[in-house]
Amino acid sequence: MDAVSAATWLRRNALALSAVAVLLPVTAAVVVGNEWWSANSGRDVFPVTVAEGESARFGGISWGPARASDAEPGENAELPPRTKVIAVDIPVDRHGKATTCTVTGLRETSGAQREWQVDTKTTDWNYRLQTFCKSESTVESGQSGPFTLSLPFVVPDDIDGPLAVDLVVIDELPRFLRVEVTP
Amino acid sequence: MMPATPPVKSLPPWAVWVIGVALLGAAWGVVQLTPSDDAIQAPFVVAASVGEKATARAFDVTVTDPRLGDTAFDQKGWYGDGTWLVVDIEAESRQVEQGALLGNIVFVSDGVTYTASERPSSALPLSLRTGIPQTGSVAFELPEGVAQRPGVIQISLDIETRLDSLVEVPIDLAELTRHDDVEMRATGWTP
Amino acid sequence: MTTPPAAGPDSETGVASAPAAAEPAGARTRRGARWVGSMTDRVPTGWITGILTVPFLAVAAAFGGLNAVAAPPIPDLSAGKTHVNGPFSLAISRAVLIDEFPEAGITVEEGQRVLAVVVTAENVWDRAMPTVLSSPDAALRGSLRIPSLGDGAVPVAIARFDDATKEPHLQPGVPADLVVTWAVDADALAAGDEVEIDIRDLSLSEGVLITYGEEWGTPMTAAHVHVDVTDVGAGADAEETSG
Repeated sequence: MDAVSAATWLRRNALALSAVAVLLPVTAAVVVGNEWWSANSGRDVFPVTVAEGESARFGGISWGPARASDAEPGENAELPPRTKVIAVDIPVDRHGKATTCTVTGLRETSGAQREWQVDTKTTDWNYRLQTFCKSESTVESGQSGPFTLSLPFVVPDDIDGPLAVDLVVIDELPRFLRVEVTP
Repeated sequence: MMPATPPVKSLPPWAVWVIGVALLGAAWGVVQLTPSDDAIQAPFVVAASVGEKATARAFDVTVTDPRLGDTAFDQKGWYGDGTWLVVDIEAESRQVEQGALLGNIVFVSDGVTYTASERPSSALPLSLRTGIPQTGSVAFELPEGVAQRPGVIQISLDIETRLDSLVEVPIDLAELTRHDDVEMRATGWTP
Repeated sequence: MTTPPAAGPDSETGVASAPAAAEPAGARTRRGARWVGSMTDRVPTGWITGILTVPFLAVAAAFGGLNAVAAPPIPDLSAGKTHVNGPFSLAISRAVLIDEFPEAGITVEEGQRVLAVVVTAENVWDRAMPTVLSSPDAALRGSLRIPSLGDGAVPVAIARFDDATKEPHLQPGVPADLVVTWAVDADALAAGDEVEIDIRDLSLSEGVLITYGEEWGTPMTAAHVHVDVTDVGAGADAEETSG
């Protein structure tokens, strides 16, 4: 084909070509996005970060300034050697609703980003302390007012860096709350 | 009006044959080198020896103290007669605790796979903790003939080993002393 | 495309016939050969194979090659004989009627008793086999049936005889005594009755497409074992288990 007929072809098909140039990437993006959404819309993927010592409102709950500290386990605890207990206290106000929340874990924010789960068994934690937001059928049976989540984690004793507690409120997925703390 | 085509120069016959044979040889070589279909889904093997810490994708594990005996005892009052291979394992999770369940330890010898016995109280299945090692024992019930042969202990999270780490620790049973009794450790935190 | 006339018959008959009558005999055979040649020209080449298959099959049928193969008879075994059904080598030792047998993993309702059968089993495959899987047609549980129990033909529980491990796994090459239990109506069997236990063969299939790995399945009855039943009543001291 010579140059003149090539240019003619392009001109005659300009509308179709531009339509393809737009529709092809849009279709790919829609298909990929749709698949990603159906796989991940129920998982905790996007963190909403609350900086150290700050408060925030997330999922209809006010999360107060969180505090982490080395804690003493209960009397009958049998801690593994070379570990310590980090307790994270997070004041919580559900404003009269019975929104549930669960704790995914305590995570290192740098390095290998290791994660530990709440362990009330090994630490022989006081059973009266709250480690997640309970759902209630009626809001007047206590817990509708503010309370404090008291979360024990068993971690290797050389952990000291910046940490964060990941919390999930189901209606907010795929966003979740990440509360930064430093013990 | 076709333009005159220049005469085509062709290779001498011997050259054609040599090139043909060389290509045939290359094709044979490619077939030999090509991995089989299984290789696409093969597990990623992490080799380690007894006493050496093996780093898999999701966990670290050390196999120690393999021992062979006629009767195996656990710490909860069970015992079993036969030919028993007992090993101690120390394992921890590398990154997360959720879903970190060590569930598959087998002994492979001569193409036959023996799974860790469920008869005694053993370390399996082990809920792994991040950075916090736990120790326990597993026991393999073997036929008498295997006690003189080498084998490999394979460790993975799940019985489905494809496309995940598989720790392999070779053990030669002929080199182990045969005891009358072998005892299994209780499962607990590594001291 | 016409096939060239067959030169073979022409030249052969031309040589074989007597010289005196050569001319007319040779001409007739040559015409015959030409007729055959022109006839076969009209039949599409591909049909020749199909047409030749018919006499071939007819001859095979005449020799009995198309008759149905008689299924091999199912052997009747007595107690103690071993039968290899695929992954397992099984020998049924004895059958015992007992009121209750919770140690073997079975609980029975009112009006039912336990039929406990001691089976010596060895795994003859190359990896550990479970004795019980969720499908009643799988593993050792799928290999045994008592057809005379009707709906209750499937074993309820399997446990090891020595340490009472429920639903044990059998390691390759390590034989074990197992207690396989059925729930029977209290009046269905009595001491001295003969019960027929079917051993079914399993076939190994390999996963294709969406399934992966090897699996033993499709049980087919392969042996009948006849065992006399003994009755131990409440069975306080009968099947003792250790550990």
